[in-house]
Amino acid sequence: MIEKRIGGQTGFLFVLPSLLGVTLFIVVPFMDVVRRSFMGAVSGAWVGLSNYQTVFSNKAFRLAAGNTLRFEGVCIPLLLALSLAVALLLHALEDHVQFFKSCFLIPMAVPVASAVLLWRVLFHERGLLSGLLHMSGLPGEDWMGTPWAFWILVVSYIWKNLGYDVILWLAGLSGISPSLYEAAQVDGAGRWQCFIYVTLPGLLPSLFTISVLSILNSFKVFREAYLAAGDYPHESMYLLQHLFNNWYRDLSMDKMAAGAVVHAGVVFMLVLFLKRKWEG
Amino acid sequence: MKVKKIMGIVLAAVLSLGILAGCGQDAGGKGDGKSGSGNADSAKGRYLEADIDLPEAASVYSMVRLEEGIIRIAVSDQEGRGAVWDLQRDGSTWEKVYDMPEGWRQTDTFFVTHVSLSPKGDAFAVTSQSVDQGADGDTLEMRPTEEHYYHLDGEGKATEVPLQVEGYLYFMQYTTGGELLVQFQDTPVSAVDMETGELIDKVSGLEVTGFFGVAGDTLYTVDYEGEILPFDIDEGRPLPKDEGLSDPIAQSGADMNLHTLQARPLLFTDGKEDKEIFYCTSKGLYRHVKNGDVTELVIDGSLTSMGSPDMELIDLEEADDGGFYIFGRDSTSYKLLHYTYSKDVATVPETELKAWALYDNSELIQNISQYQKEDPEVYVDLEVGVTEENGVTVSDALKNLSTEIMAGDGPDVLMLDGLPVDRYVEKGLLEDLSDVAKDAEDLFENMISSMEKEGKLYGIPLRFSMPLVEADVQSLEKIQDLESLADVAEEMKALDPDRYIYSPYYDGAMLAVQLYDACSSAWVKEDGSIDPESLEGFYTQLARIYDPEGYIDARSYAFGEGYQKYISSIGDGILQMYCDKSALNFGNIWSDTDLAMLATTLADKEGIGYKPLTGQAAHTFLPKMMAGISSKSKAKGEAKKFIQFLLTDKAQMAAQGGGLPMDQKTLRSKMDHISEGSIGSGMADDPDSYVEMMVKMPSAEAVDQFIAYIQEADTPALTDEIIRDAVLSQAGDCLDGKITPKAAVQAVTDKVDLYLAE
Repeated sequence: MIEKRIGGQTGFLFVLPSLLGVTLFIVVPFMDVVRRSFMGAVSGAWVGLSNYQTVFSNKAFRLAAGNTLRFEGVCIPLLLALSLAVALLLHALEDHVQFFKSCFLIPMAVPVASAVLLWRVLFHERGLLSGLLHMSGLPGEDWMGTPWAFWILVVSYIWKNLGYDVILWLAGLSGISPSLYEAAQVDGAGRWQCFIYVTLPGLLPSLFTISVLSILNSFKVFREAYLAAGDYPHESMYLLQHLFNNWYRDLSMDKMAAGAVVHAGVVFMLVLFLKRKWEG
Repeated sequence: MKVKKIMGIVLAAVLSLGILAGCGQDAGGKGDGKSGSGNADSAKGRYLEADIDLPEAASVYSMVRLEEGIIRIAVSDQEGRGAVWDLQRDGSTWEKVYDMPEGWRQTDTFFVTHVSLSPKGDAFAVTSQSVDQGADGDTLEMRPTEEHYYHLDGEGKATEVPLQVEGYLYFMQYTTGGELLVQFQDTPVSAVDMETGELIDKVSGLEVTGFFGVAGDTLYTVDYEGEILPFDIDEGRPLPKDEGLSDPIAQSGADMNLHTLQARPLLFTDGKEDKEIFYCTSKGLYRHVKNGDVTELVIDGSLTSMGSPDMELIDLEEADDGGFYIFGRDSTSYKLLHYTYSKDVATVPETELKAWALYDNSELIQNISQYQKEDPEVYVDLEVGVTEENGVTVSDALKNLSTEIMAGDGPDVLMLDGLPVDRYVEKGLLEDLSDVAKDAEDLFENMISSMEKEGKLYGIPLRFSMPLVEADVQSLEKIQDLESLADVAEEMKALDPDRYIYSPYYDGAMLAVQLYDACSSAWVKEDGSIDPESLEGFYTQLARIYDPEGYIDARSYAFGEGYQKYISSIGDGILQMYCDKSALNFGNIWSDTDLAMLATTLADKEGIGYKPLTGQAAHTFLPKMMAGISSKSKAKGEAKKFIQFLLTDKAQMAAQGGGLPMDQKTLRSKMDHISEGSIGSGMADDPDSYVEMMVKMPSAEAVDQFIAYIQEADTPALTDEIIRDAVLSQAGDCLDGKITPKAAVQAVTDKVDLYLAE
């Protein structure tokens, strides 16, 4: 009994520095954001739910929230599926696994500014893509100024995060005991059945972590979008971060606070949902 | 045990909070971080600046402190006659020492270029005499001239010095020992033998340099990169580089490139103590001991006229009373500034007022300098969001401002140009300034009242510009709006296809900049959204006016604030019209000189006229330098006083090309003080492009007419930077035919609707 208590205290002490950091730098500031979401931006006067009403009736917020949801809805399943496929391929390989792992991680090491430069070289009206099309007799375009901008953002996100998710999937795959595969094969299971009945259930605990990390990483794509297209990109890639950025610029802290609370609430609910779904 | 643990946790938490709290302090160490606050325990003692009235003169050449301690100046009086004056011991009255020779009176063919005064009492003068009349219409500056050099003794008796030198005289100065040093084009600094006129290589190792200064027995040369090299005049040899002197000057950021025959960006004088020298730049006046490591700031330039962007420094002398004299020139007149030490004034002004502007603003810096001089207890700390040095984007600059405001450390005074004013008003950030505007008697009421929102005035434009159109009188009558302007342009093109219709240097995007302010207010509907039809009309009519054949691709430009002002100016086009190089001219009037040029054109060219340009809106003007006060300011009273000062005649007279003064009396006064002379413009690689006019002072009728036009202006142009950027960024492609006006409008509304929806 005493040993158990000491063990519990030790664990708490290990977590304490991190807990203090999270409390001071995230929880407390977020509480301040919640407080500000009920107040005027400059006057600090209590305005009740008025900021939330303003935000929900705001056309720009609805567009940005819709684009963000669409982006998440397209990117996350695509990334999870692609990275799993690559991970399975790498897992099955016997030679040069480390080399291919490194290759897939290279995009993570590419600085944002370089990635943005690449975007511009590729997708400018007189860029490489337009040049290639021109050679084929097709007209070029300012791709970042068309609805294609959304898909450029999707590809960029997947390019950047694929390697990271592959590594996570590989970690999950290595956690599945080979004896399970052997037992399944003895029972007459083929490759597909092994995948469905052994691999997938074995990866289910990893799925939650990888999904949450992918969702959180997806918000970082704003850096590339902002540097490449500024405050007001094509409306298909106008995300919540663009809106928050512009609200902050215009001193609309009231709307920004309410929007941030709504955003955080949705992400939190999503994480809880995934946790409940995949971790039981 | 448990108590100890709890104590430990509490102490750790307090320590953490203490560290975090420490992070929040101002690391800059300037003041106490509180604007508008006083500090009773602050250190005392500071040099204060005072103007000494100069004898009535058209211009002043130079100043020197004679060996006996008297301050002497050389001037040219209102009739163009030169004279030398001494400042009496009382420090305010002047006594004439002598007149320069009667034959030196300024005429169309003769003038005294410069006079340098020796501490021994004699002087050296350079005169310029045109050798023939030149071609018809040539100005005095353009005719071939020859220079003569004279030595004047202590009583003003002139003896010609037979200097035989080719090239222009760059600079000259007497040493403390009374020897004249000169620097001619492409020759190093030399001494002059007054009898033979020979140039003597006084010091070995000298090379051609930018300019030079003298402090005691040391000559300092300053090259084009700002490197300062010392030379011993008496021994005639180079001295080891004084890094304790040159490094702080290099690091101060003072620009060492701008100098004339008279003015230099760095002045030297020797001090009373051994090896002590003083020097001044726009950053202030400093004390240095030769070859020492330390340079001490004696007078902070930002608190005096030294830091004013229009101040040119000419001479520096130490005074007998332990103070200093600086002779210089600002945009309005010559100044003799006397700095005296006051032990009762706080070393650092006790009241700090924070001002914030998105872009550099020379008029504001000049005004701050004037204000601090009037009230030495106030320090105005101007923060500029976007500068050439910091490379910050407009968006990031505005976010930095938001951070400062929300942290309670925001500015007291906001220059609202380029800021989201409507959003700030909506948030309650701006104070009502109606009372400040009412107190200022001579403001253009029509423009001020048009800036009001629901009876409140949140920003006072201190300056403005106005769109005008210039053409032959018949065409001018036909021009009633943008469409009729396009009709006239097309008619002119049809009549004379080989002639430029408007300034040939403007491409499509530039043309849009020129006409933006005459049209923009018509694009916004009552609900604040963009009217696509009106905007499409803008692009459509511009495409009719635009003459891609006539455009000479000769100027690089960007849509930065400074470039827009330059491009939108009507000034360059006036010269083109004057020289019959174009048939139509439009754009914004930014300065009294532009008006004088217009008036000169009207006087000299029969059948040419001008009027306010009605584009898609009538009676438009562009408000500039809009001053507002933050409702979160802790020094609102002081901030109001500052804005009241900005509306005074003295502050409004500041002229750096940032717009016409909002004060009517000041505008008239500026018109009365326009300096007549030649103005020219052209491309360096195309001599045929050179155009020139002799600008004359506008007549009283011309000024009255212009004031009457201004009094009708009651529609402010759109000042929102995001809308401006969206509209102008589509203009180039639209006018070049790459996209249709409809597509351009779609691209603009996609962006602007999003912005407005936020």
